[in-house]
Amino acid sequence: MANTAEVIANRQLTAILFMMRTTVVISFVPLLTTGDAAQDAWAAGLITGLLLTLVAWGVAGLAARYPGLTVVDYSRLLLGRFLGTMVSLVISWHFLLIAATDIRIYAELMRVAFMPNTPIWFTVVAMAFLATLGAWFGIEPIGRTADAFLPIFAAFVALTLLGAAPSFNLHNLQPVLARGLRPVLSSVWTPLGIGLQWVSVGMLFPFLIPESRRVRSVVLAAVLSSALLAIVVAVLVGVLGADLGSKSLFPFLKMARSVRPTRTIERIEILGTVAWGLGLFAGGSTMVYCGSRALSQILRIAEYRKIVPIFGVLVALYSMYAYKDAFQLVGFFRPPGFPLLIALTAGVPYALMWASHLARHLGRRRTGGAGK
Amino acid sequence: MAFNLVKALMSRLMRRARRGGFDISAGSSSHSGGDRIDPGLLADDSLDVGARKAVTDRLALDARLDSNLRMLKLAAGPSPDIIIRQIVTDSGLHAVVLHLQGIVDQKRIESVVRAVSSAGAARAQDLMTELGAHLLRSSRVKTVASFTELWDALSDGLAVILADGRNQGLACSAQSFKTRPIEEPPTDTTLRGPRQGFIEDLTTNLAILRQWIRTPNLWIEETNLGHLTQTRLVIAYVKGLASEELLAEVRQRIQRIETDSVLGTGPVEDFIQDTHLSFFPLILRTERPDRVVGNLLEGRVAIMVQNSPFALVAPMDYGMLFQSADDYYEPVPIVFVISVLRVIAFWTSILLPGAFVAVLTFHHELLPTSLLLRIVGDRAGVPFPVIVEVFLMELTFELLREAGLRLPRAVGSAVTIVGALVLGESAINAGLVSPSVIIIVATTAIASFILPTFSFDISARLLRFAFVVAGGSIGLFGVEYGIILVVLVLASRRSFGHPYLAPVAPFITGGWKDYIFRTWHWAKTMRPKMTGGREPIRAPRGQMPRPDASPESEGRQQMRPGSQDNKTEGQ
Amino acid sequence: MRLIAALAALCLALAATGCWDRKEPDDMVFAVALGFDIDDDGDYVAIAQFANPAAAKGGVPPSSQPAGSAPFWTDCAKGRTPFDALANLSPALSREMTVSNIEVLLISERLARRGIAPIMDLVARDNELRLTVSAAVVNGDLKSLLESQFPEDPIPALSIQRMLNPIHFIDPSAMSPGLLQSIADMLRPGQDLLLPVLRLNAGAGSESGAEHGPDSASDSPSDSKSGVGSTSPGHAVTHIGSAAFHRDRMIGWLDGHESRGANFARSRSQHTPVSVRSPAGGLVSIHVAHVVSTVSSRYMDGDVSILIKAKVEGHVQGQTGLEEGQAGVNFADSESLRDLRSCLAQCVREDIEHALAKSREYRSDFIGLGNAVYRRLPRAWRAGVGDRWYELLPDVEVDIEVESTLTSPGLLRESLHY
Repeated sequence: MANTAEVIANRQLTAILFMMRTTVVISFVPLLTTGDAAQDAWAAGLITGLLLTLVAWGVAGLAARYPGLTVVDYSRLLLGRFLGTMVSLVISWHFLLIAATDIRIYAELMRVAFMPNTPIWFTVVAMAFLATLGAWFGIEPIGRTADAFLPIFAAFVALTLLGAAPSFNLHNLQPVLARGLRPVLSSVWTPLGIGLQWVSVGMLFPFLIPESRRVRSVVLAAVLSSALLAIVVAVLVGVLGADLGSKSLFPFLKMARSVRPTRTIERIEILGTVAWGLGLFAGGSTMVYCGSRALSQILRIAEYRKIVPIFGVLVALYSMYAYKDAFQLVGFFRPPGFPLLIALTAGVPYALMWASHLARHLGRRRTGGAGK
Repeated sequence: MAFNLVKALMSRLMRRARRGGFDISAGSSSHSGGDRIDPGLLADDSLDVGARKAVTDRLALDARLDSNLRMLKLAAGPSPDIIIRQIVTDSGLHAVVLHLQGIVDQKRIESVVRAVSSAGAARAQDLMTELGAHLLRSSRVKTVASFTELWDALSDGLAVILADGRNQGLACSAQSFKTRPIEEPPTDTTLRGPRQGFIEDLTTNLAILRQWIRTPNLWIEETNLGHLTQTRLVIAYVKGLASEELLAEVRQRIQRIETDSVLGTGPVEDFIQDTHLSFFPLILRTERPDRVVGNLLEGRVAIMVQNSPFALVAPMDYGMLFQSADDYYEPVPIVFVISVLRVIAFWTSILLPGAFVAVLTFHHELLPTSLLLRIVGDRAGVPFPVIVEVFLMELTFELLREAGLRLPRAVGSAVTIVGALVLGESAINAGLVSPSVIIIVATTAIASFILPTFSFDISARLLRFAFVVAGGSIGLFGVEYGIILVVLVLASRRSFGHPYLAPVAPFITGGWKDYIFRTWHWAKTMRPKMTGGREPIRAPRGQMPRPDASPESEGRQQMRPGSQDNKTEGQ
Repeated sequence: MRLIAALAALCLALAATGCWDRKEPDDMVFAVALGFDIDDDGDYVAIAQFANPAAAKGGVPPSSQPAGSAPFWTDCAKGRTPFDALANLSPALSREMTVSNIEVLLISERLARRGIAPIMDLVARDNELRLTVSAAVVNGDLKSLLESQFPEDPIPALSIQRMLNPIHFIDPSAMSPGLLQSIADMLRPGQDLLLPVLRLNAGAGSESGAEHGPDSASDSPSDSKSGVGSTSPGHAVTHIGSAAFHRDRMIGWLDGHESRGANFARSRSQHTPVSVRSPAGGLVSIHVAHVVSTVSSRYMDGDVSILIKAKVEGHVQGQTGLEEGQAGVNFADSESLRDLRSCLAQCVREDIEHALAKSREYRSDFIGLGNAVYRRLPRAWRAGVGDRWYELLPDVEVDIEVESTLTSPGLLRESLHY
C-alpha cells in the first residue's frame, strides 16, 4: 500500500470540511458566545460566511495554480527555502492545533455535560487514537467514512433543529439589527478564525479528483457550512433567547436539553452529541493525516505513515496540557487574541504567497515568457 | 540413493506447481516424458505422501500390460473399487478395461467391453485406432500416457483401455455419478423464485449456469487444487463484462494456493479473501443459481468447486449482505420496506444490547421518567449489574441457538422454544434477571435472524459483545466510538479491489438503484459502475409500463425465437 | 494466545469494575419533584420527592399497600445556597440521588417573594437539571403538597406535571410550558415572569375571594362572585391563577380571570371557557379555541403607546336562559350572531383589562408591553425609556382591540324548544 496514489473525490472533501467546521462551530457557537452580536448573531453568521468563502477561494485558488504540489512544496517555491520551510512548519503546527483543540472541546463537553467524573485524558487519548487510526488507514477511508456519515450528521443536526422549532419565538430575534453593524462585526472574527481548518486544503488538493471542480468543492463547503451555521444560530437565539444563549458554555447542547418536542420524544441532546462525535472524527483524522504528510514532506521522509503515530501522540499531549481547564479553553477563543493569532500565522503567509505568485505571474507576462 | 532422488524430484515438483498454469480443457500437470522412474520405489512403506506423489508424477505407462498393472497396484493399493477386466480380443490381443466402481454406468462399461472384445485389429496400435473410431459414440475419447493421466481419467469416471504392447491407453467416458436431485437450497429459500439450487456435482452446476446465461460470452476456466484431493475448481464470468483486472486478480489469488486438500469453497474463501481478520464477509457465498447469475451479469466473477453446492461470488460489497433472492421477485414497494427493515434489524442486533447497557448505567437522563421508573422498578432486587445480566442472557441465548442447530430437526425447535420460555420465565421469577433485559436480548436474537446472509456468523456475535463491553464501560460514547471504528475499518476494506462500502461510500448515485433498495426492473438501465463499468448501459430507457398509444399496431406478428436479439444490450 | 487471553481479561475487567461515571440504576434514587423554600434565617430548604419504582409499578392504589413500600416519599434539608440544600439531602439517603429526571420544580411563596434568581442559576448551570421541567409557585405548604397523593398516578410528580401541562380543555389560568420559557421571559428586556400557581386545598382554609376549580361559573364581567368550591375529595391540589413577578421577585397573585386575561394578551391561551351574556337573555358558554394576539408599540403624540390586538376564535357550547319556552339565541340571525360576537369580544377585552390593571398595580410587566417597545422602538428604549420603564408602566397608554369569530354553533343548529 505504500506507493499507491491515494485519491479522494471532491465531494468527500466537501463532506469533510463541512462536517469539520459545523462540528466546532456548533459546539460552543462562537457566533453567539464571543463578541457582542446577541440576537443579531445570524447576521454575523452570514458575514462570516461571506468572508470565509473568500478565504476558501483564496486557499483553494492558490493550490489550484500549483497542481500536484502541496502547500509545503509551493511555499518553498514562492517564498524561498528558509521562509517556505518556516511557513510549512507553522502550517503543520496549525494542524496540530486544530486537531488538539477540537478534541479538547469534545472532551470538555463530555465532562461537563455527561460524565463529570471521567478524566480528560481518557477522552482525549481515545479520540486521538481514533484520529490516528483513521490517518493511518489513509485519506481514502477517511473520505469514505465522511461520505457515509454525512447524511447521518446532517439528519441529526436537522432533527435537533426541528425538535427545537416548536419552542421558537420570533420575539427573541427582535429588534433586528437595531444596534448597528459594530456589535455584529465583533462576533465575526472568532468564527472566521476557526476557518483555519481550510488550511488542510493545501495538503489535500493534489489528491482530489476529478480535477475540474476542485476549487468549487472547497468553496461549496464554506458556503454550505456557513448557511447551516446561520440557521442554527438563528434557531438558537429564537429558542433560548439572546441572553441565555450567549451565556451558555455549549448553547446547542443547552437548547437540545431544554426543549420537549412532543410528549414522548423528550431528550434529543443525544442526536447533537452523536453528530458532534462523527464530525470530530472526520476532522481530527484529516488533521492528523495532513499534519503527518506535511511533516514527512518537510523532513523528507518518504512514508508518511511513520510519522502518524508520533503526530497522534503530539496531538494528545497538546490537547491535554495546552489548556488547563474549560475557562482557559474558552478564553483561548476570545477576540482579539485568537483572530489575531490566526491572522498572523495563517493570513500573513498566505497573503505573502499570493503576492509572490502574482509577482511571478506578472513578471513572466511582462518578460513575455512562454512558460507555464 | 533412492531417497536423494526422491528429494530432488520433490523439489522439482514444488517448483513446477508454483509456476502453475490454466488450460481450457481440464488438465493435470503435463508429463515431460524425461527419464523413466522405477515404480518399485513405491513399494517402500517409509515414503511419505509427498515423496509418493513425487514418484507417481513421474511415472509413465509401459508397453507391457502387466507392468502397467503392477504400477497401478503399487500406486493405488489393493483398493477393491478398482475394477480390472482382463479381456482377450477376438484377434488375440490382451487388453484390460479399468474403471472405478460406483462412478460409472454399468451399461456403458459393458458396451466398452464388448467393443474391445470384438475388435479385430491385430496389433496394439491398430487396436487403439479402431477403438477410437469405433467408440466415437462416446462423448469423450482421449489417450492417456502417464500414470497421472490414467488416474485422473479413472477418477473422472472414464473407462481406461490398456493393451499389451502399447504404452498409451485410451479413456472413454462412462460417467454416472450419483448425485442428489436439484432442489431448493434449505438455507436460501424464496417465495416466488425458481426452486433451484446448486448441488455437489460441478458439471451439473455448470450446466445450470449455462441454461441461465446462454450467450457464448459466459466463459469458464478450470483448474485443480489440492495435492491430495485434486479438487476441480472453476471460475465463471461474462467475457467483456467482467473487468480484466478483476479476472487477473482472481486468477492470481487462486494460483497462489498451495495446499494438500480443498474441501469445498470454505478453504478457497480463506485463501483468496483480501484479509482474514474481517468481521464482515468479503466474498459472497450462495447456493442459488439466480443470485450467482445476477451477479455475473453485473460483471462479477463466480468461483465454484467440486463437492460443494456453495458458489463464491467476488467482489462483494456491504449491500450484498442485505439482498435476498426474493428481492427480485417481489414488487418494489414491498421490497423497499423490507430492505429498510433488514438494515435496521442488522444494526439493531449489533447495537441494541450495548446501547441498552449504556443508557441504563450512564445516561439515565435520556430516558423519559415513566419509562425509567418502570425499568428500574422491574429490576429491583436483581443482584447483578446490568452489564452482567445482559452477558448472562446473551450467553444463554447463544447456547440455546447452538443447541437448536445440533438437535435433530423434529426435536430441535421444540426444545429451543420451551427452553427459552422456561428459562426466561424462571429466571425472572427467581429474580435473577429483569424482564426488560430479556426483551432486549430476545429482540436482538430475532433481529439477527432477519438477515439472509449473516445469521449464524460468529463475527456478528463478537461485535455485539464488543459493543456491550464498550457501552458498559464508557456509555454511549463507547458505543459511538465503536460505530466509528467499525465504519472506518469497513471503509478501508476492499474486496478484490472494490471498495467494500460502495456505493454508500464513495457515494455513487447510480449504484443506489439496485443496492439495498431496488427499483423496478425497467428502471435499471445502467449497470453498477464499479463492476459493470465496461458496458454501462444495460437497457434502453423509457420502458415504464404505460398504456400504449396504439396497442393494435405492434404485436400483430407472432413471436419467434431469436427475434429479441437486436433489442438486447446497447452496442 | 496468551496475548488474546490477556486482552479478554482486560475487557472483562473493564466491564466488571466499570468506569468512573458508571451509575447502576440500583445504586441511584430518583428525585421526581423538587421544591425550594426559604426559612427565616435565610437558609434555603430543598424538598425532594423521591420515587420508589419497585412499589410504584403495580398501579395498585397507594393506600392499600403496606407501609414501607409506598411508591414515593419526600425528604427535606437545609442549606445556605440552593445547591447546598440539595446536597444536604444526601446524608439521609441510602443511595446516590439524581435529579436528572425531575418533572416539576415548585417554589414556595416565601422564596418567590424573596427572589428566585439563585434557583434559576442553579437550574441553568447544573448539568443534571433541565429546563424542560415545569415550574409553579405554591400557595400553601410546599411540603404537604409534595406529600399529598393523587389517585391517577402512584407517583404524584407525574400528576403535577400533567396538571401544569394540560393538553386539551380546562385550564383557564397560566400554562407552564417549561422553565425555558420562564427564564427566557425573565431575561427578555421589558418582560416579566408569570408562573402558574398550585394551591393546596384539603383542609387548608382557602382565602375568600380566591376562586376554585375550572367548573366555577363566571357570569357577567362586572361580577366577580366567588364560586362555590366543589373539589372532589381525592384532589388535594388545584391549579388556578398565576403569580406575577417583578424581575425575579414575586409581587402578587392573579386570580383565574386575570390569568386568563394575561394569557389572552400573551397569545398563550389554548382552550378556555368563556361565558358571555346572551342577546336572548341568559348566558352563552363559548369555548374559545384559539387566541392570537400581538402587542405592538408605536409613537402617538410623541409618547410611546401600546396596542394589544387579539383575535379570538370560539364555538358555542351551551346556553342558559332557555326555560319557559325561551327560544335561546337564534343562530340563523346574523344580527344576534353579531351581538354574540361583540359580547365575546367585550368579555375578552375586560379580562385583558383586568390583567393589565393588575400588571400596573404590581409593576410587573408580564404581558410584555416593555418588550414590545424594545422590539419595535429600540432607539426609544435605548434613549431612556428602558431604564425608566417601570415608572412609565402605570401610565402608558394601552389600546386593546379584540376581534372575535364564532366558528360554529356546536352540533345543534337551533336551540331546542321545550
